[in-house]
Amino acid sequence: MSSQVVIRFTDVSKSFTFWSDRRQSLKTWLVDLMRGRFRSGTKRKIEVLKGISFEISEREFVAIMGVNGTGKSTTLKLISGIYEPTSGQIEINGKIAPLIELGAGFDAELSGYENILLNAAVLGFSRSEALSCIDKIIEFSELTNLIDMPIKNYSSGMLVRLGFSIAAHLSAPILLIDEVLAVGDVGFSQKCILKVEELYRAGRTIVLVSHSPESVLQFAKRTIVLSAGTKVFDGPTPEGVAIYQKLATEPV
Amino acid sequence: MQIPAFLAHYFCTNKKFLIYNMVSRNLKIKYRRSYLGIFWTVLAPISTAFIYFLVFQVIMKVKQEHYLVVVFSGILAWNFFVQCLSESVSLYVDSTSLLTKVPIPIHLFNLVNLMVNSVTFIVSIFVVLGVTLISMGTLSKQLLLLPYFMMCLGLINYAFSILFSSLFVFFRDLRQVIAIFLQLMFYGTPILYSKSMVPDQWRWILNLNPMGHLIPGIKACFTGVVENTFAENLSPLLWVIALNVFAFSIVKSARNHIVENL
Repeated sequence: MSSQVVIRFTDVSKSFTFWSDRRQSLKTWLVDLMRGRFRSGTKRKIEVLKGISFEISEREFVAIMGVNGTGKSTTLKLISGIYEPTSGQIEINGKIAPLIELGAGFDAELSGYENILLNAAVLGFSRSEALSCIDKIIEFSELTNLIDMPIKNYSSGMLVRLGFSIAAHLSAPILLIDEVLAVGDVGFSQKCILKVEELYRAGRTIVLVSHSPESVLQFAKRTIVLSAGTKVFDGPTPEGVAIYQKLATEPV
Repeated sequence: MQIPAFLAHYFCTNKKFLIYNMVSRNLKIKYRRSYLGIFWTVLAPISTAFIYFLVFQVIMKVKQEHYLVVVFSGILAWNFFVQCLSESVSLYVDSTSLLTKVPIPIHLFNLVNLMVNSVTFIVSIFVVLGVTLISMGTLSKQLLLLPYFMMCLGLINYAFSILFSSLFVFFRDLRQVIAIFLQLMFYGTPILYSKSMVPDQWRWILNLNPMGHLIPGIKACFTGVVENTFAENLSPLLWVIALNVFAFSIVKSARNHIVENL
């Protein structure tokens, strides 16, 4: 075996149960119960992923593409462990930094510096790991002279910069990126893309969910295309992008 | 000694840095920009306790030894319980953005909330100690049992907190129900009155109330007037185990169900 498999999906399905017109209060529940109705609303089961299997090895850069609502984000959430599969197996080897939402858990009242530590902790890193790269994070975010200010005074672009810097500098071997590269102004966006490339060259495994073919084509050697919860393509990026574009332009 | 994995999971021992960060954030936000800081939060229960003292001792002339100490210790302990629970109801719902984006255990929020409130509680314990010293001039040997009772109170709180914040995800009118529940529990617990005042035919209520023997135990730590038998002193521990086993099973089996329903 040339390189170790870090993410393995074996026949993974994920379905969500949605209720239309579901009771949301204890009061209606009790009233219903007295009338002898035990269930309210109509249950709708939506299968977001239907038996997906793939393997991602160490040091791979894989893009996941697909039109809206085909299960890309659900796949990332399954990888990061936020959701558990309804059926099938997921095997993960190594620590994951989910960049699913930049700056998850930022607190408006705290300073940028305090938020870096908080966000690092939220992403599952220890104090020493966070402190070892905090200077690099601040420098990369270009917020050096604002770092002691409460982040409620930051612009949204600044917040995104801070969020990206944190996630990109913490040293998790597996990086999950969910359409966040198109952030900030053109200059910073370019800087992010370069940073991701640098992380990839440094030996990280990167899984990227994207809609924009350019950013996928730039680095990802391999692309997985999802359509309506099933894997329709897994292979070289140029072909994957072509299939995706065909799917995206097809009338529904 | 290695702690068992299920306990480590239940008390999030591998998330120390995150807990530390969240606790310090909550404390900072709570007490930043206020001169009296933490004393604001202690001030409210102190004034409540003082009002109860005035009403029941000075006006209604209740015959009870060391009534000032009784009311202070009882009300401050009870206030810790209520404060913690009312804050915990919406914990999961308010943390939706975090819970659906980062894999963190749901009960971590309850733990953080418990710790933040414990800080206030510990400060208020010192206030009660001060009141005891001023009004009685001495401290009782019973005080050695206080850490045990405080631990029981904290853990009962933790279990209720997990239960309520989980239920709130499904029943958004839970707050009103809890308010009534807590009100009933307040008068069903010997806080303002002593256990000896409870008529025999109503005694069983104390056994069904997690606070029924715990609050009298805490009061005895300060007044030195012991009303609990040895078995009754142990009963909070049984509640701790029973309630936490239940809360643990929620965390274990319903975690995904809760996160997906947020």
